[in-house]
Amino acid sequence: MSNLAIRALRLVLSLTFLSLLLGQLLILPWLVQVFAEAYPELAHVKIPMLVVAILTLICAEVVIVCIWRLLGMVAGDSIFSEQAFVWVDRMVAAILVASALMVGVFVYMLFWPNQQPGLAMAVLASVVGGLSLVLLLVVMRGLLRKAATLRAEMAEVI
Amino acid sequence: MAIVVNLDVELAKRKMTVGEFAELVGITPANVAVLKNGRAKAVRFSTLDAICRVLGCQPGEVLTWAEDEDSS
Repeated sequence: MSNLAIRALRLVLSLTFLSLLLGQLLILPWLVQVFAEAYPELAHVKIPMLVVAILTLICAEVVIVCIWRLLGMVAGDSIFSEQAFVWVDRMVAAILVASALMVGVFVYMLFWPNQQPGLAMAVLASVVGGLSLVLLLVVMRGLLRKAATLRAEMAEVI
Repeated sequence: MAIVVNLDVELAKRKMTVGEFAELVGITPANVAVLKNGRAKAVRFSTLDAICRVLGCQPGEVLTWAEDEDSS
């Protein structure tokens, strides 16, 4: 991978991380406040929803850290080590946790006095998105395993 | 390993050291050792080509097949 590509990716990862942080600290509390004021009957969901949203964004931040480490391994040519697999597994776990949180939110929303179909569909879409990402990562992990095995075999050829 | 690499004999004949040989062939001295004590699992033809050129010999002079004692 070219140096330029690596630095560009690191820049994108940093900016995404910062915007997630901004989202957690400023945008989400404000959004939840606006929502509670628009639907007074749902004001009691303010705190649980805010907590879940912040936790989900923490999962996204974990994923970004994992991608950053894996990028570093690609740059430093240690991507075929067992450590790489550990970081991939951590990424998958974080996305699974986020998806589980979204499933929980969806079920929680079924009990709301005031149904919000738009939001419910968005939550469901994020679950599908999360599971698709997990599927992709599992397949790519298989590819990494094959590549690492091949590299190990070739290393023994004189 | 059933394939024996007779490097010691050939190097002695030409009074070449392992280091010189490794440098001329383009492999590390560690890999030369791996070849010599039968721990190599695979050799590239390009490496064999270089070995034969450096030693001025045929593959059959540097490689022999000896039946494993423990093979069934």
